[in-house]
Amino acid sequence: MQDTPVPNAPRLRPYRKPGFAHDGFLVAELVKRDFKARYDRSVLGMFWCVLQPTLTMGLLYAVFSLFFKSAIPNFPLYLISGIVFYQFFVETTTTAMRSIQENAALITKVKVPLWTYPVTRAVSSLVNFLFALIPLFCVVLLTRVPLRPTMLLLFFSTACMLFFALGIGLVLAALAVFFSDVKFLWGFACMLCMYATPIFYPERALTGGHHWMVYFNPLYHVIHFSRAALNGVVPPALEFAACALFAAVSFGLGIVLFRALKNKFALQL
Amino acid sequence: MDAIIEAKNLGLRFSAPTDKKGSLKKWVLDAVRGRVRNRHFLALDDVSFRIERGESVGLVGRNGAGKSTLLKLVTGIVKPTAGSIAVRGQVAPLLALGNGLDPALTGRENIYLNGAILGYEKAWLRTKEADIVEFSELGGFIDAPVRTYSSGMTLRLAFSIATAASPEILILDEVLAVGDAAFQAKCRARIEEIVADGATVFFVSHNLSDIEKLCTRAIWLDKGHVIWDGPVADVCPVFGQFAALPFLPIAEFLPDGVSDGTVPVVRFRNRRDGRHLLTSAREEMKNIVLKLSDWACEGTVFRAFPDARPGTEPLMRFLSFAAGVHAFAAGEAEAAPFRNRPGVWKFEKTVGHVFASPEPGLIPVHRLAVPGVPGFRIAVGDAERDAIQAADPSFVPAGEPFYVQT
Repeated sequence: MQDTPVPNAPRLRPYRKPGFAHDGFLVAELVKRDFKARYDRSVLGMFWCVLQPTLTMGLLYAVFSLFFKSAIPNFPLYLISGIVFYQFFVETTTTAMRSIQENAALITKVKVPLWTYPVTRAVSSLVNFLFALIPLFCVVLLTRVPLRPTMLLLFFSTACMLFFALGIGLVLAALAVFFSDVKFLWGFACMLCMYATPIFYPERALTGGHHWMVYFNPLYHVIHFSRAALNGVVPPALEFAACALFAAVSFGLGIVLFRALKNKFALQL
Repeated sequence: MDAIIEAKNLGLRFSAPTDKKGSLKKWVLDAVRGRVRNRHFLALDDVSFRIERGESVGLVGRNGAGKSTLLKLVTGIVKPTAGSIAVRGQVAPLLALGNGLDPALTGRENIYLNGAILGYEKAWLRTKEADIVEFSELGGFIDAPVRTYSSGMTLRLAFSIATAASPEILILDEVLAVGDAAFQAKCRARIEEIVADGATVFFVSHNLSDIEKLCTRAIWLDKGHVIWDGPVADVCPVFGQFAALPFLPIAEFLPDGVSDGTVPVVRFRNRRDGRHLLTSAREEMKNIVLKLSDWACEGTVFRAFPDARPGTEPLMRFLSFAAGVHAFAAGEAEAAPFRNRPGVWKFEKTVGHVFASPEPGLIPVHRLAVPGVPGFRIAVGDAERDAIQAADPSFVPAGEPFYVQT
């Protein structure tokens, strides 16, 4: 296995220079691995990316259309936009949380930038989310909602959700190394988020005495923003600010905590 | 030129909670009570060494000596809590079986995944893909999922990927132990090739003959300290002796470690009848260690002189043919009754030379026996004698005590 340089060919370096740019290859390979491993031995394979949100929406639609259909215009779109964003949040945070422990065998052997593990999970979730947009736009077309330029604002809300969830994922990943309890608590927290966020019930259902609480719910802001964008409304500047602020605070907190604790991971695993 | 790896007063202090797996509730409760109970543990303490480019170094030591921790510091996975380590080169760990390979992916996909983890450039991996497949001898299986591979095939692939480039520092942690003989030979040849290319090799193995073949230098670690850092031909045989008798203090084995010229006398207790056996001969200890189900080692109890000197008497051991138990005699006068009955007692050996009379700084060793029953129990110091007599009053002193340094 000797290196035999071809004349006039540029000499290739075996090892990448340490740095952000070259970690991209690693993250890409890890994301590919995530998908291949997830759909290994399944007949439908990648088709599940699309099928899963469709089935979830179908089920929730069947159940909740009995209660809320009349109260919400275009209930199917309302429901699937909520579900898709909520699932994106849950998947990113939950898989990122487990990323350090699940890669313990590697982390204790090879020096790889530790942030690549949770970021890989976030990128995988983002890809999954993009697939889930297919059924969402099917609903848009089926319910005859006109395609409008405001829908491009979904890029903004997606980015906010990605950074918001990744920030939380980083915090959880770091804590889960030290306390396994975090994993169980987070499962419960996700359920709490589902009921505290208007996903399948109308936003007006919260207009009671506790209405103000919903403004502290980041998921509400991102989902509310996205629904407005889908319905052709440009959300007010305050909504842009709220989404961006939650994302920035969460992501910043995640980075700070993760960096503070990462040197202790290898000894704890 | 700078050393490729230079460690200065390296220390790593663990502060792990008392339970390995943390519980949030417990931690919060302890934190509220103001005491998070952490077990502080020095995995490495004041370790210094320099490794030059192209050296191949074997790390030896018992389990828990700090070998893996040292490798983690060299790899950069863990940061030292004291001192410093400078690593001036690309480190490539040879991953143990299955660590970097994903069972769901095909062998070819794993080349890229594992390559990325090991830090190879993508373009370079493309040019090397064919070589890797060829070296791994997987042939057509390279496009089958790794979960369908045998463990030997998985190892071959992992090895081929890890050694595709000649790294500056290669870390081998117990890797040559797997795979069939032919591939093992091929692996050795490849590693030797990498060494010949000028790579620095760090090799951890419990197989000393592998270390002796591959390395020129060995570092012996014990309890986080460097015991001996020297040529492999010096260190390994001595470590091998120690590994066979791990209950003895390491200093007993080091060539210049025994400064006062004494030999350790190790006490073994028979599990069935509680009789004692004293010995200072390593070969004998090794034989006894093979029968540890019969004998419990109680460690070095005192030190004796190998040769007679003023004030000392030989401590002799006799074996009873009938009962199979030992008796000890300090000096020829005590030995006479045993020597006079050659068909009943057999002289076995002189354990060492001990003092016959009390002197300042010496402690007494009592021999206790039950009258009419052959064999002795050995009590080092008065407290141990009192404890034996308190537990079983039928033990009475057999002869005068002799005196030793501990």
